[in-house]
Amino acid sequence: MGTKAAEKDWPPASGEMAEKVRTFDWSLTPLGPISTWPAELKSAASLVLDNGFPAALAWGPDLVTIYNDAFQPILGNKPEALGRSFSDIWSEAWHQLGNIIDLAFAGKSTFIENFPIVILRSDHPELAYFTFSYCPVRGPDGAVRGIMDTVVETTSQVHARLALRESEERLRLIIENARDYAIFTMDPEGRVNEWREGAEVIFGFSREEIIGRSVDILFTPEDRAHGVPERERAVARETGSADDVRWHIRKGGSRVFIEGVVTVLRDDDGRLAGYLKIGRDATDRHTTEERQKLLLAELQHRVRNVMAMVRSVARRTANSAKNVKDYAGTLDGRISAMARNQVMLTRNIGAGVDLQLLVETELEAQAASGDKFTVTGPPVLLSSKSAEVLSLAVHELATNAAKYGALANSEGTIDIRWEVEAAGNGSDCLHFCWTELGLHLKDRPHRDGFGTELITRRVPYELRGEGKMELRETGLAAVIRFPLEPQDSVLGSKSKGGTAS
Amino acid sequence: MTSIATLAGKNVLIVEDDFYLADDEKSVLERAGAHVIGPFRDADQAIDRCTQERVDCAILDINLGSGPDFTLARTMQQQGIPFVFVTGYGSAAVPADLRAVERLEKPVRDQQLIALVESVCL
Repeated sequence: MGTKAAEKDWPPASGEMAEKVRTFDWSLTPLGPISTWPAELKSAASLVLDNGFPAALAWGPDLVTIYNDAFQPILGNKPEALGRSFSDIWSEAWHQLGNIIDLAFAGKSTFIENFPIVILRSDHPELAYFTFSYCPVRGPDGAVRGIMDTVVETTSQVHARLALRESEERLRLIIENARDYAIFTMDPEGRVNEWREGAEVIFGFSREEIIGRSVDILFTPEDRAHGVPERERAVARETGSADDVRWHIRKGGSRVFIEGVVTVLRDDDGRLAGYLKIGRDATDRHTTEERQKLLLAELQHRVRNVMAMVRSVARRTANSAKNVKDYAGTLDGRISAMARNQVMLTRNIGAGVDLQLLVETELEAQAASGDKFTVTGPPVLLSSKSAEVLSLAVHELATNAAKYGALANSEGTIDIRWEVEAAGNGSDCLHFCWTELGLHLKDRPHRDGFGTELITRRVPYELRGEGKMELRETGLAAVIRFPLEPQDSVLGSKSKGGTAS
Repeated sequence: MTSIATLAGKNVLIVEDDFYLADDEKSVLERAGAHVIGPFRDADQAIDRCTQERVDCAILDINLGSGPDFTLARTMQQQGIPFVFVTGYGSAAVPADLRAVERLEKPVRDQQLIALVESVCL
């Protein structure tokens, strides 16, 4: 009876499984009643039941199974495994586990991490991961009698790690495919410590060339001299981020306009870990905007200058007008001449104005018939400034001729000719002569001072040349001479890179 | 209104590439009593004269034919010559370090010009 009581009290471990082992009818298994168990089986069973780790014992050639409370979740809703064969319990995975069990029976202990097994412990097969050790349990003679399985399920850790790896992979793909964006990080001192393909494309530096170097090399010398890189990081430290919208330097020295932002990176304790910079190459858009600004400013400049000029011409016309009708007619003629010149200038922008066309246009405007004048000279293209002055000068000469000179007299003719002379300093000089013939001038006819002032004062001032007017008995003679220099206009020249803003 | 020669004894230098505007400015300032130096079409000529004569106020056009240029303005700043801008450009065309310079936008009214030059010469 004493032995019976002792049998009922074994195993002494606490817990649900220990209780089950105590009450289980072991006589129905190959192990037989507990009273018949060898000492090594009892020791091993106690070790399993007292173990804090999930553990199971598979004993004898039939692999009769004893497991502890911690092992229960691994079994899930499988049929009660106690006393059954380990190979039966894990039949779905036996093609994998059988060999390992055999090894343990051969005396070889195994330790395997994150072993993937498809198991059935719920209403569907599931892939689970285990880190486990099968170790042999020997009898007094040294022969292996069973194996002890100590196991930790690592399914959730493996899933978490896979998820993290996937997320890192996604992030890597995003960064590496964001070729239009320079994405890189710096350490707290501003040295580059991560550099991706987009940054390489935009700045020209390879990863090997820039890792470890100060980010300051991407800033322009002007910005470096003004402490812009340090200030940017200081603002990021204070406020979390700082805008970085400015010209930068590429490898080799060319400039790239970056629209970006630098963000401070802090570790979990709030300590400065470095900076992240994300920037986009906005050079094209920025250059277009700058050019638009330049064009707008230029348009404003030109329109206001024209208004000022018209006002000045109107004022000067008024000074010498005989009456309102004369004033209106003369002013109309001058403004029309300026407008005709604008038409010629804009007809073929940048190509210059053909001198012959300019002269003939002004004479036609006075309705001069072809037999009243001759035009002789080589082809000459005038810059906009020269054309502006000369067209108004020819207008004044033609108007004057129509009112008082060769065009108003049946015998009068006009000889218009020009030559291009070498000016000595390598540039050419236009020598333009307007000579009226066939008149017999007794008295000085009326001439207002506008045309004279234009030829004798405006030509020297604006065209750096000279102008003379002479009233001979046979008619008026005017000589205009000025250097033909291609005068660059802002619209025709290259953008100056935003100096006007 | 400007019968009083408020600018009597003042040397005013004009730099303007347009003859009519330069000539207009000159006569307006002379009517106000100023002695006009120039007008000059180019910056170089103007700088030469600055070294020879006292200039109480210079009137500078920003664009002398080849786009906005502030070289002359900066030279005058360095030499301590007071100056103003008369220009067709809006303030956006002026660099930040010269934004404080008085500026008249074309077309300029005679009274505005005299008043501005007076304020500089005071």
